[in-house]
Amino acid sequence: MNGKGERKGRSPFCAIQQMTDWKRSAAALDPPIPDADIEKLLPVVEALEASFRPLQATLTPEDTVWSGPEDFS
Amino acid sequence: MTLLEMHDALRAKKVSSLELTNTALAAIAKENPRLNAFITVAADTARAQAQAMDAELAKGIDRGPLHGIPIAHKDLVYTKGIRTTGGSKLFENFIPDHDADIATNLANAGSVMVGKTGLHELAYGITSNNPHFGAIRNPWDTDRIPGGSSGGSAAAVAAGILPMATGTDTGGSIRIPASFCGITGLKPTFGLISKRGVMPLGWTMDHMGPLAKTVRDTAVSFHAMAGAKSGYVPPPQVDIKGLRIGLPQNYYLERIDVEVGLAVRKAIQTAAALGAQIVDVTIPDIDALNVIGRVLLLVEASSVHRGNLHRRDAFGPDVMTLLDQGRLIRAADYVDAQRLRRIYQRDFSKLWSKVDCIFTPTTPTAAPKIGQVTMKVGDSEEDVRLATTRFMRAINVLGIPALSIPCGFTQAGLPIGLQILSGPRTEDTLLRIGAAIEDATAVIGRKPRTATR
Repeated sequence: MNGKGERKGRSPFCAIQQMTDWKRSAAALDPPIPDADIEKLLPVVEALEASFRPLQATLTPEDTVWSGPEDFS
Repeated sequence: MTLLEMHDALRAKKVSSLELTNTALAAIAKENPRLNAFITVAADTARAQAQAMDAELAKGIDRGPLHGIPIAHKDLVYTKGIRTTGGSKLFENFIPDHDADIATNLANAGSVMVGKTGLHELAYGITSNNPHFGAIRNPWDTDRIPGGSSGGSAAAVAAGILPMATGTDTGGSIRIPASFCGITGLKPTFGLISKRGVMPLGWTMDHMGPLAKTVRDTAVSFHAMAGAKSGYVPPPQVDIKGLRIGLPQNYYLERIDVEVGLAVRKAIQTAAALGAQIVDVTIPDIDALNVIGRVLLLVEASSVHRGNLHRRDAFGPDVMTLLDQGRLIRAADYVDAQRLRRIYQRDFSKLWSKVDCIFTPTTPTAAPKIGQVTMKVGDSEEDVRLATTRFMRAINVLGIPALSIPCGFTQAGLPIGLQILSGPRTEDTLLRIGAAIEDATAVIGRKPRTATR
């Protein structure tokens, strides 16, 4: 039943190299996010990324996007 | 009175729509200084609409159960000629030139809209502690939040001002306030009720639905919101013999208050006593679905409000923080989240061959206090927003229907919510089992001591 369980064998650790430099990303935004606010965001976005990258690493090219109610049938 | 009791009283000519509407307006005048549930009151248009509905009934024109019933719309729902703020400074003077589809559908069903209810700013939060329009308060304890983002709708219904109000649910915004305020709330299947004319928060996560006093009132309102041509009247008696109810063996009964766990297990026992079959189920990875949901909503909400992001002073600090987070997520990550969504949805859907519905707590605790940032859940201290949405967000990712009904009270007298989940487009199953539990317990219909009626 578990999506991760059924798709084991694809290493989640390959994702570590993809971790983002959030401060650089924020600096590129228009309008910018003030530095003081970025510092407050870092723990949250880093934790989210750490949770998301292993899930992302299980995707294969044949996995397509959710198409809304069509996927209910 | 419940919505259906008002319906019966109208047909028996014991009361008129105008009288019901005036009573609701008087209740708003009395309760709003205490609860802050309404942003805008539409007294004149409501009275005119009520008189028109009375005139139709006098001529024998009957639009169904909602005919002549006073209701309110969450202030995210476009109402032609009546301001729609979204709980935001950005839209404090915005007056739509058309109605949202759900406003049209409910008006066509004969309801009388008395006002616009307050909400968490831009529907992006669960406290309804709004920095621009003030904190909305829980009728059961005004030091506590009503939940959000549909906090004003829930507070108005729980206080007995109205039998029903509309809500939206992007990550629990109907179910959380229903749970905290001791009323019923339905988040229908994704896409079943039109979103046109409702300010979006996350296009692929937004759901429209009703908050009402009882399950049957919720059923009537749901069908009307969906645009049903004839007024749906729920059956007076329901039978759930043989219905397969999933009892989660993981996740949903972990990290919750003891009192919440006891109340949910008691609801399961009630269902079993009514003839339902209780089936142990292992729930797929909800934590993964919650992560996927956070990525999706953060990006979509930042996209919705992209044009106003240079006005940082126009947003409350909690909303601005979330919008900033969304701007940092890459497009490819968003697309991957939508790909993961499909995989996990397919995994979860396998459950529906084993059970007809699943019982969970709606929230791990009863309502926290206004301004509380962390709270004790079991033995651990948790962030209020993350803890409160833990059982919510995944359901928006899945797009399946979910009903929250009251299932008990804490020793402090605060309501506890039961969440019932089922497969896509099986709202009638949810409403059937909800009505059965409603009939079998004295929990639903209990009112705060200060309720209007």
